[in-house]
Amino acid sequence: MIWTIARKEFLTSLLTYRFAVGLILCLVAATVGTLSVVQDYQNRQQAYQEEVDKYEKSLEERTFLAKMVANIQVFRPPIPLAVFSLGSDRWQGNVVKLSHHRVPVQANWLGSANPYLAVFRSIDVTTVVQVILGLLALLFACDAVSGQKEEGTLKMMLANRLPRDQFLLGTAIGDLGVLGAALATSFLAALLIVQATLGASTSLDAVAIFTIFLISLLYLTAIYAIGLLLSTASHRAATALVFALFFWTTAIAIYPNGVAYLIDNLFPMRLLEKQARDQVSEFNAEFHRQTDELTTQVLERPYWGSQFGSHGTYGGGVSGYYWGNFRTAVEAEEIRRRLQERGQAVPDYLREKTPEEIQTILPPLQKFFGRMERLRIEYADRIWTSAWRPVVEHMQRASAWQRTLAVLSPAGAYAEATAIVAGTDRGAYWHFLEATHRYRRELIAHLEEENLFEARAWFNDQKEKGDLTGFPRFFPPREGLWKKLGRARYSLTALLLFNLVGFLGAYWRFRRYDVR
Amino acid sequence: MLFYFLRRELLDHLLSLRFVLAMLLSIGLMTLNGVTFSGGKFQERINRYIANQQRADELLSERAEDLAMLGVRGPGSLYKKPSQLVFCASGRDDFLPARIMANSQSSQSGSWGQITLWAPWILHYDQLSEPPLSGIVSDFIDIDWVFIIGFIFSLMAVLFTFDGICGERQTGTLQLVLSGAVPRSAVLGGKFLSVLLILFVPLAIGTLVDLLIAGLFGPISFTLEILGKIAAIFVAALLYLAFFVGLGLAVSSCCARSSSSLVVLVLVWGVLVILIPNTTPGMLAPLETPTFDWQTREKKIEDLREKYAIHELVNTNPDGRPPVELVAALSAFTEEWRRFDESFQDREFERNWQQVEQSRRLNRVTPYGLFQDVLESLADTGSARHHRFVQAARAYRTTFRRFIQAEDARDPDSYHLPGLLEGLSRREVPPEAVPRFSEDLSAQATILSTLSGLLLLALFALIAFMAAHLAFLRARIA
Repeated sequence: MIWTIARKEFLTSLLTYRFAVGLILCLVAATVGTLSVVQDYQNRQQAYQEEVDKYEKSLEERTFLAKMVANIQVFRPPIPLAVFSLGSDRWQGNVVKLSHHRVPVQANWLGSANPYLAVFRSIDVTTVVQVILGLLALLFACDAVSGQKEEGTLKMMLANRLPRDQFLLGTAIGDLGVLGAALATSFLAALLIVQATLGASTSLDAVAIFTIFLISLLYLTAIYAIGLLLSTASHRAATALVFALFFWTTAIAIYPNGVAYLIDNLFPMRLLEKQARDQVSEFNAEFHRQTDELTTQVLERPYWGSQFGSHGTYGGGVSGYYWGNFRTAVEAEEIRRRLQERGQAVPDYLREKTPEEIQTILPPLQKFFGRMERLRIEYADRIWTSAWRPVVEHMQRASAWQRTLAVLSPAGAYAEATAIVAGTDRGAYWHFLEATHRYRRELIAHLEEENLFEARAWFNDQKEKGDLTGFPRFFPPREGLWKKLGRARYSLTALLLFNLVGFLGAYWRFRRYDVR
Repeated sequence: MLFYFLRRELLDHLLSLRFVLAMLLSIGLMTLNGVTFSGGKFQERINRYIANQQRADELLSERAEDLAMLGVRGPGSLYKKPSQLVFCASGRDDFLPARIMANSQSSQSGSWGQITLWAPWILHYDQLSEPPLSGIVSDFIDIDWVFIIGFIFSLMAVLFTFDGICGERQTGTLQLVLSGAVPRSAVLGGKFLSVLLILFVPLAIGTLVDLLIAGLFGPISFTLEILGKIAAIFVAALLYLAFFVGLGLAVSSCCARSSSSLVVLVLVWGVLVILIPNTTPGMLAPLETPTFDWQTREKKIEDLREKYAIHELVNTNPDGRPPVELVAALSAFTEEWRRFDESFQDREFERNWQQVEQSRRLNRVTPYGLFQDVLESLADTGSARHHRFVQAARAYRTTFRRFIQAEDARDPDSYHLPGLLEGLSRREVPPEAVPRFSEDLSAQATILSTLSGLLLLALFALIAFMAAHLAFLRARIA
């Protein structure tokens, strides 16, 4: 009997004009939305590729090792699945600059095609499901009980020997079948566009897409169940619809945005950021004092002009080198040549040195660098621990609060779960940053192991040049589907609970529902 | 007659559950808006602006000690003043640059011999190089007045009107009412005005709560200017809501059943408020290919150096003051460099901005997009404001250059050759005489610039009311 009811409901809903209009709306939204998200992805992918090429080209110009190590960059490629669930991928940077003296704090943006377009929003497939199909699910659910009562079909059907639970279940299966068809069509439209525009150049994870599809179905059943509960709570379809619309407004439009808006405004970052920057300046000053002491202790005479080291501060580390001085201290063919070309006098500290002189200059310099670079590492770590880590932890706390609160609404739970599966959530970004920290440790271990701080190539490229070929390589962390689902467990449980509460509530109300 | 129907409908709505829910939503959302506005982020933005402005003033006063330095290195950074009405329309200001650099980029200067050449100062349109730290949370819609009125209240308008005609037809009231000598326009007018009034009540109360919280705890001072802009925002809100009231009554007149009327209305509302405004970026024309890229720009500047044989010129090392011929040659070089770089930067900005304007124009096709645009314009936020900011910066550029020229003309010792220190007067100018950057954010200017938007909103409302009138005249009453 359930299947007869389901079939009847499926056909009735399928033939309604509201389904036709809803489906067209979904298709248009999914098509246009996907087109704009794909365009955005292509722009970011192109910018990413250009940036990687530029970096790789820069590696070919080999110079002294310290400069090469100081400019190491690692990349977070744009995520193709963002075309299905944008999450916060668009707002997270893709380039991280790191070195032994710089602990990464956040990833920087790639130069995008048009930076001002960030003011506009684009909608991905999951937003279409969340908003438009969510609304359609509510419209169907409201009609299922109170609508049929208004039309008089409900009392005729239940006049026969039809158990109420079977009626409810059959109706739900029929309506969900129609919604599933609309969902599948929207996904198919999006997939076709992605295939047509990105083609074979991008490999999309089919299992992840299917999982997103299943989570979408779970979300729609939850919304449908809540709609059914509202339908069984009222006797007129219009009243049920009004309630459903209020629910839709608060649970889908207001609540998730309100939570994010509140967190964004109540966790102001700029002040903390400024405090951290002030702290970094203090650490830098201290570091410079220490290096000055070290200079007088280790080096007999300064090999440079008036200044040592620029006092600028990096995001997460101590300031850089005044490179020229160390090169010139040993050999400075290039600079001598340029000065001579311009007809300017060559100062004494730049004059050509004999091999014997070089032999006396090198050992103290090597000793100096060995100690100074370790001091740099120590200060970079201190800057991270005392200045930047609290800021990052504050951000993570804010982000965790948003996730926890958003899960209390079906739309929030759905958005979170799909973003996790697509790999576009904040959690994936934090994992990436952690991986860059691990990579920095590997890098330092390698530099120590090979004793590279004391190598001549570290600070001078006239006779020897730096080479990063034997260095550890960075691989962006990959997360398996199970792990992702594990992280999405709260959101998925919330969705299941919404389903359970909705259907049980609807059943409980319908048992005593006056069908006349 | 109209007032009789107005009173009847008002009483009817006042006692409905919808009104209670609308009131609760309005007060809740407006309170959330007020609390978050006072929550600290905006105060932080203001503090940052004040500190930056102070630094910029100090820099200007410092440079004013030497007119040539002021003329060559430029006025410094120009900052966009945060709008106090950001809670009305956030305009996603976090994603737009808050300053324009009007400074010589010293990194491009070179020093040879006695003469230091600074790169000419032009307007550098800042871009955000790293995500705003608000990126802690995923992309979301700000709960500002654009959302509360544009999204929630328009849905309320739909909920108050969907059964206005067909509901009464279903219950038979309409037949009874129209059996007397009652003009249909009075019935419709009563319904139209009553819904508009009934929406006005929660809106006004919510707004008052919001303004009270913002005034007590937030960084806002209610000057006449601000109040004028808020009044204009209210007018825009009523015109916008009038469109949805008219639309609701039109659809309600055409449908036989309340539930079908609601479904149709919700779907139409979805297209106008959600679908079109969020998908316009996807309909944008592709970005024009740049006439120049940054590498070509560098090369062009290098070519200019060669063309003017700058290396030789600056290495002549004259004793005492450089001769006028040398300064004139260097000035010609920096001026050409400035003209080229200025047009390059301006073009680069325009190229990107064209897409934003295109998207804005596309958005204005729907009442929601138009309403958002009008509100952002009135609240001095968003892309409309940013464009005004850029225009103000360009006007300031001209004023500042004229000032330098006029002051320089007064010094008989100067060579009157712009572009390098040696070509201009080295006199001190009183810092207060130097023109300061400011934007005209007066209520009058803002409202005038949004007049066309307000008129378009009125036109939308009028069309919707006429559609309702026409539909109701032709509607069956039984």
